[in-house]
Amino acid sequence: MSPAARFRLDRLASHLEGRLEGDGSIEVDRPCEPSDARSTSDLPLLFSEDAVERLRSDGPRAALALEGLALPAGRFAGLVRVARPRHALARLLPLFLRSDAAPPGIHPSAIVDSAAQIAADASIGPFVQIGARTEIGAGCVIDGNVTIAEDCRLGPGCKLHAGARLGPGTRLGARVILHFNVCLGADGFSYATAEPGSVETLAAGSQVRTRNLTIERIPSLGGVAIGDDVEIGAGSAIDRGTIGDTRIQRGTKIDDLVMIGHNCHIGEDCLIAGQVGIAGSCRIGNRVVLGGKVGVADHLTIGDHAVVMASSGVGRDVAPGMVVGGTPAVARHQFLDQLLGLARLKRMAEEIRGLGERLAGLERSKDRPRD
Amino acid sequence: MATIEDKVIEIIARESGLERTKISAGSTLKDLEIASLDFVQIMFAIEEEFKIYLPTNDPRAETGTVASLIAEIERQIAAKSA
Repeated sequence: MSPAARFRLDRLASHLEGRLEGDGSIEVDRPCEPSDARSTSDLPLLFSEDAVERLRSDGPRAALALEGLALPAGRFAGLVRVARPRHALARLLPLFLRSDAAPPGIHPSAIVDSAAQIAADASIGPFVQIGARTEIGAGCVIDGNVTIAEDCRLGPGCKLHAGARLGPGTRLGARVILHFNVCLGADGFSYATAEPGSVETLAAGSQVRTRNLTIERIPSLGGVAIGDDVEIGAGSAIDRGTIGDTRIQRGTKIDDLVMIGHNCHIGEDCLIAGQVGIAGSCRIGNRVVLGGKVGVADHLTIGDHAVVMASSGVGRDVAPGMVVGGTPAVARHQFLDQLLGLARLKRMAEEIRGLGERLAGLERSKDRPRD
Repeated sequence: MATIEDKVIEIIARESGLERTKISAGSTLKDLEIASLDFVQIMFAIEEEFKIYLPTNDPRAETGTVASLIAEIERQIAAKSA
């Protein structure tokens, strides 16, 4: 393990685009939870009042704190103040990453086809398999037990964690990160029947009109193309296209356990959270956010900048810039109104019953003979 | 006796987990970073408390202040007793 990095507070303030308070010459070597800050060189992260309460009375001389957050007077000799804590973390934590640099070269247990091209400074770990005509770019790090089929191309600086699988013809741009057991390029879920099948004849009513007899397989000839700076979480799967490619464009980040069907095109800088499932042939625009566990039906289009709330089921196209939620997903304010409507039902039923009783009473009094 | 404002702030604090001292008549639910589902629960709890129905499908419901919410409650209570 490499030794801990140390940074002066004034340098951190500049790097994080934060504001320095107090002594900028203090050196820190470990960002940490407030309750875990013990050493004078620790850097507790103070982004809320709760965090301040968890702070011990001794230990660190400096802290990274939310702009405007009240701190005990005189507690710290130096502070870096930031307005956007999570953005600050994105800048801060890479400075303190500690990992053993992967040695360049090919591990003796790796099986590399003689027709594959491996950059001289790439690192190929134990038990890796690399197929014919596959090209591995400069600085790539391929951890143990990764399988890369034939005709793949990896741009420079890619990092493939253990167990990742790449099917034939998969192409990765530069600096792509694949976490444990990512699967790119399995065949799509694509089948056909000779006669119109049960789903095709469901246009009206709730009864199946025809039955699926022989289900024939449509093989996948396309590949998967991943743009620069895409990151794909552990256990996620992206199927290869039928004829063309399934595409994920530059900068998109995909969480663990996400399924993306064949022929989908996902735009740039999207955020796709865990357990999302996108059926085949969807078009997802740029900078779209899909919350956790969102399901998207096949052949749909979700416009640029749209946001889909967690656990929603998208059954029709979503216009650019819309925020939608629920199943089936509708505009957010309509979804919230639906939720409130459900919560209101009990009281509304009681009110209707009360009105019915009053009406019955009025009807009875109307029929009663007058004195 | 608790005022409408007291009750509304109590409900917002209870449903959102925020401290009462952070909520004032001038706060908007958006400023308080109330999550979507908490917003629904707050609206529902207010409706139950005051036996009214709030106009929620208006996107402005989340961006209005606590004071405007109180004014709507007072308007509906007055309309019912008129």
